Amino acid sequence: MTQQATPENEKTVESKVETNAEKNAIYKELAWQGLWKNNPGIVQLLGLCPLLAVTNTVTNALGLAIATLFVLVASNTLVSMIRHHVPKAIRIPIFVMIIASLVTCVQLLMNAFTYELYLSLGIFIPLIVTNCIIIGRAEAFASKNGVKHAAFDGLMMGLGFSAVLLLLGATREVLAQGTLFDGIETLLGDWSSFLTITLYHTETSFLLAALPPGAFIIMGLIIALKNAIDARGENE
Amino acid sequence: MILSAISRNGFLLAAFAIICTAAVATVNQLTKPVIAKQEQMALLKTINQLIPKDSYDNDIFASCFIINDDTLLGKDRSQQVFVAKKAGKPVALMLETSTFKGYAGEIKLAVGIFADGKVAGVRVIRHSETPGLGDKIQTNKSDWIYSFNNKHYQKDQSARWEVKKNGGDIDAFTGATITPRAITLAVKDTLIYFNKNSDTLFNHPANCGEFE
Amino acid sequence: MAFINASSPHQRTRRSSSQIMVLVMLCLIPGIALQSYFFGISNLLQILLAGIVALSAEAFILKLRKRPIINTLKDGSALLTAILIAISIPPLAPWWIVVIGTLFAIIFVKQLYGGLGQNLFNPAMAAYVLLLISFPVQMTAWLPMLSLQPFELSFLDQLNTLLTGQTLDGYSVAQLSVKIDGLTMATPLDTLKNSLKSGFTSTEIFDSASFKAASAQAILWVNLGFLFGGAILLAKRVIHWMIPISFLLGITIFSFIAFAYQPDLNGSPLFHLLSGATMLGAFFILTDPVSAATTVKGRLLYGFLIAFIVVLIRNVGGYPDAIAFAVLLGNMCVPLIDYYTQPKVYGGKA
Repeated sequence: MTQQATPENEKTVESKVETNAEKNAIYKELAWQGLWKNNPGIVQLLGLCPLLAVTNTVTNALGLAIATLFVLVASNTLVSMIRHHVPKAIRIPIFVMIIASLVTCVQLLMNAFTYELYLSLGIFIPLIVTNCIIIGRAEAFASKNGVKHAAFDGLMMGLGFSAVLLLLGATREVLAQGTLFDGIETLLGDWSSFLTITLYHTETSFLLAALPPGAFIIMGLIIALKNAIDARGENE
Repeated sequence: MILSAISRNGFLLAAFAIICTAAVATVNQLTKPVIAKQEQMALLKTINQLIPKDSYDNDIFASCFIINDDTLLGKDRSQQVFVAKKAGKPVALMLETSTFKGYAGEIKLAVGIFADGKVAGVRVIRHSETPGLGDKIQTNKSDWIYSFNNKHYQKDQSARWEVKKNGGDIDAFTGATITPRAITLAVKDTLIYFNKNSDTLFNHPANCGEFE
Repeated sequence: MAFINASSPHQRTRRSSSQIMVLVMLCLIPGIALQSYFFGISNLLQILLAGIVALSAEAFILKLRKRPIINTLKDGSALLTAILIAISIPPLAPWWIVVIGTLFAIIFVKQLYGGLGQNLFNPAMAAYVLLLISFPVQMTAWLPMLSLQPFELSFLDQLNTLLTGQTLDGYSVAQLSVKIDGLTMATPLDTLKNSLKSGFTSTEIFDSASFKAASAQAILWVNLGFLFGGAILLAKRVIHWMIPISFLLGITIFSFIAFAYQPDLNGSPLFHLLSGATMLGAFFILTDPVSAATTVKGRLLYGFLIAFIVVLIRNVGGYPDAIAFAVLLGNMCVPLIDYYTQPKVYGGKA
């Protein structure tokens, strides 16, 4: 018995090492997909409505980014947890119910604890429900994968989306107001007001950047930049 | 078979609906008092910008009542009034008013008026004037709105409540006359309303409801 | 854009595009000359600045795209765009206004869409709209014509204002635009819009001193100048008659309807025809062969559509003039218009 046990033990250890490497590879791939290659903001072009509408300042962008990130991770985790118990026929209504409840909770919490930010983000908090990234990841990834992977995928997709939101918000805020993190205290509390940076002061700000057309143009430039970097990478 | 599948799915859906609703209801219950407090604080912040906090000692939310005046306070608009009193004596009022004379739609204002008829201050609650031109009525864009502080209205000098371009006293800001003029006239109308009703306004029964 | 069957430009190419551009620029001269005469020589400085920026920007992008530079610059289209931007903005606007506008027109609206012949929108008008919504204060600071100004503005004064925002004596544009009696000067369309908002009727406004002070006469002459140049373009068959005629006819009809309906609140058809950028738009902007409709019916429809939008915005919209907005909206409809007015599809004899 003992003699037989040894090779078997060895085998499991071996396979464990292998799965660890595989696991790392999977996480790496998920991160790569969410943050860059399949970025929901600038490659899949999902959730453009809030992306363009609320990114006029970094603070607004950060607020929406955190809310979306939270909903995405939570919905991916929950969907993955229940994936074996939900029949295929009714999976979509259930996913929608989960996402809608999560968003409503986030909305109530933001209303309670970040009141001014809640006012300035307005309708775009409840609109997270309709953000295609969330139902998209629930259906395409979380409903087919384990909880850990699903949560990690949600985190990476959320971070990818947040990165685009923040980049867009920072560019627009600098161009339009010459500041960064203006109004951050509405999100993080009064202690954080030192974060507000005034880069330059001007009477005649570049208003276009703060308006929706400016958001489209800058978004286009960010996508172009990403494509240019990819193209350069391929050439080398 | 089909029936059992349907009922199974139905039960599952119902179960999820119950769980989700319960979660939302719990969060709602927990956040409700905090949200109410936040809304009150936000309103108080506006009021205290207009009427100094230490100048009154009554519960200003409890004093709120609703008024209407189609010609002076905006057509078809119900406006809230808050009364500030100290030791039972009237100190100041904050009236909401609306004007449609701006460039784009309604401009909603909060006008603070001291008991002697002087303007305590004016703030824009919401507007949709042209960014870069008309939005200088916001305090974070320009100091213009402070120019009403301590002004008062006298019937025989009514013409002075106009922008300078039309022969009045109020400076318009660069690039726009319509928006400043709309605000000037709205403040003037509010003062006229105040002068007309000053005896009843301070003793009006509160009727705004819970806390508003 | 594979679904546009009639690719533009669709001219019978007796002339090369550079010859056409030169002719168009020559025909702009009467209007520009009158504008400079009434509003100051700084108009020409703006053109010079815009021209230099446009050519450099175009050369830079062409180099990035590895395209022939000299040949492309020779076609004159960048220069024409620059001129149109420069004469649309207030003559004493600070230098960076025209620089930003021209860079946007050439780099974003023209070259990023693929260069001459590929752009969806009229570059000059897109730039104008960008400037108007970004810098409303500077873009609406039209000074009254020189002869009405309280101060003598020399060439050096104008140059200095353009570069630093102040005349040699230290007056800013805002100060210049306020006459001693406190009347803020504006264009006739501005004055009409502002006074209507203040509750005057249009008849009262047209008779008022502030309207006459608003350089109505000068704007009228400038419009006539562009009409004259446009007539030459038509006679030389550089542009097709369909767009200007349908546009001007449309302006007349639609403004007449508004005028007949509420004469107190709207300007007369003649006022609409000879104020703002109507004539410049009719002959030099709408007719841009790249961004306009290309079929016969389409061109008529295009002119009418833009006229309708212009009258609509001028009479009920937020902005006093509307050529630029209307042209951009018209540009957007061009693929649709061209698609549904293809002669083959409907078997028309046009």
